[in-house]
Amino acid sequence: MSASEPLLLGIETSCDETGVGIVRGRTLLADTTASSVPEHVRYGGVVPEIASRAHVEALAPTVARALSDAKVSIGDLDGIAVTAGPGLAGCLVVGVAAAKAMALALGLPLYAVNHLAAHIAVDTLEHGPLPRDCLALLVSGGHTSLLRVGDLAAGDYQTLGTTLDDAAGEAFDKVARLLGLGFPGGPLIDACARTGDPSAIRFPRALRGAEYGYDVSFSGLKTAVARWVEVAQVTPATPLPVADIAASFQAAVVDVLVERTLRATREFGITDVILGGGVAANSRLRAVLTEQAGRRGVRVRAPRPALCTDNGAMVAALGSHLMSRGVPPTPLACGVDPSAGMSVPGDGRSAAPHRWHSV
Amino acid sequence: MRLLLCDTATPWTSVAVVDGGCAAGAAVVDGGCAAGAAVVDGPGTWHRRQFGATGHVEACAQLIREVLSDAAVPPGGLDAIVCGVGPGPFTGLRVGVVTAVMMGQSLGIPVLGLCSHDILAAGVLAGGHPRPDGLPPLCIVTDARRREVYWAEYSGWTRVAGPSIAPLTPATEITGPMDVRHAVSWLRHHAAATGQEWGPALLATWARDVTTGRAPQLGAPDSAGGSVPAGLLPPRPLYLRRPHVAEPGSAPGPAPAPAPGAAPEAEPGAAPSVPRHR
Ligand SMILES: [Zn+2]
Repeated sequence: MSASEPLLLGIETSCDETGVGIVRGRTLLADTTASSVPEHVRYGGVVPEIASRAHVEALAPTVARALSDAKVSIGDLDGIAVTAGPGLAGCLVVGVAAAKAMALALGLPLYAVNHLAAHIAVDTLEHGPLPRDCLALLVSGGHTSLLRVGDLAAGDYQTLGTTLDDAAGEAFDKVARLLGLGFPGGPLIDACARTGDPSAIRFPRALRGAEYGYDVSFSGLKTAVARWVEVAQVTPATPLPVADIAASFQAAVVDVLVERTLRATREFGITDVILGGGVAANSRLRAVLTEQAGRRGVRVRAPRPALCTDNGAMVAALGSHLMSRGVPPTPLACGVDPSAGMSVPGDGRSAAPHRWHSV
Repeated sequence: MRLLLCDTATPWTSVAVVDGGCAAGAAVVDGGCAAGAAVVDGPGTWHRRQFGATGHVEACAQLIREVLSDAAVPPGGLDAIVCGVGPGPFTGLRVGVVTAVMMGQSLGIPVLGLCSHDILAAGVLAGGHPRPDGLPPLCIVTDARRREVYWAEYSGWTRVAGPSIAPLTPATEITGPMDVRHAVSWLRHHAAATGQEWGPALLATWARDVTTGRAPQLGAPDSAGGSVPAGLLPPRPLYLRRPHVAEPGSAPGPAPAPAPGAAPEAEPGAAPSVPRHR
């Protein structure tokens, strides 16, 4: 291998997607995903045990498919990277066991990485190295985090704010269910909102203002939508304005996220924002953030939607970055860290007794 | 013929390398029952194990690396992998199965599954002493949590019932907390025959001995070669339980209280679903 261009295979199993990606340096060679989403639809959310079982079944075939997509053989690999947290414990265990098995069998270094950092690193595949100091807004069904990123390889990134209750994508799921749109809610609300009026209903924007820091809360918004629907249904003379509700709800979520992000750019004098996570595929979030940031001279970069959702390529991308930078591999005896990024590094709550790239 | 064996269906993570020089090892692939080699000392056999109800993912690959080093066999020198496929608590069980499957794929060698209770039974049966007459069948029982047990019953080297799941009742003669919960009706017999005091202490000692490779000196194979207690299985977990979920709107079923001494585990309980990873 060339020292600066390692061939990395990345495994992602923190939730309901079994993702395997392969990169050479910053070149994406394969991004293969098997999803158990259809098995969760009837429950309106991810069932951990169903997801864990699906990962066991999917891993070996997904690895085989990724190798074939990338046109490389398993013996060509230079390293294995895997998400060790945050995520669902039972799901993380499957991916970490698989990655260790591969590293051990093939005699390769193992990189157990942070899922959030991987969401950030994936953007380097399309848009080159990260700016020295930037913000990352990561929004999905599982996480809603605003991070300040110095140097990923040095583990220099910190959470400025997170959700106090529901993740943004979770709020989308719940409102979609309320409106009878289906699951997962993000793309369905986005599509439905296109024909609605985002200013039709004024839903609340919680914790808005500098005194609340950068945390967000969506449970009040979700309740407000539910109450609005309830009231509307008391007088069923007119059909429920589903598109207006979806558009107004989406506008409230986007307002909150954009306000936090732009306030942080001002406070820290940062001119680059990276968007990631499944909700980063939301058309309104992309449009509003890019437009409002642009007016203040702040650049917004985001991977294409397929790389925003959970995938193996992002894990491989971070692994490749760490390996190129000479970061020591993770010991084979490492564990998983389901709440990584929720705890303060070094406070002893981390389940992983090893050096890894905790937020 | 060099085999790697691993099992994570109990609180123990146990791994072994069996060299072809050992007839028992070869017998595994021949369909023999020598999976007991995983828990029985012998020439051409190396094993390592670690106790920890929630520590399988930390232990498994590391132990395999160590046991391969003990045996001076590089991963590429293996010919096949055999893994215990349970039944057992799911999160731990998956570790051994996934490890075996992914090592096998990486090395391009076959991966086979064995019912984990067969492995434990073989460990008991391979004790090497003449078997007293008139013993009732052997029953291997392990902790399934939520006040239930996994069990399988053997007559000689043949599994005649199970593996299955049953409520934990006094009749299963489990007194906990113990490392690995086995109830063996013929152990009770043995205690009576040898004048030992039957009780939790004896059972606990015996259970630990089985899983640590110091198999109890209670019985022997019906014949030297031994017939097969069970066949080889595909390397997929034997769950024996559907994922415990309730659909939205339906009332979740009553959540059974955890068994005394049971380690907390991320099994789903009655929770219908959780948000995508927080
Ligand atoms: Zn994610």
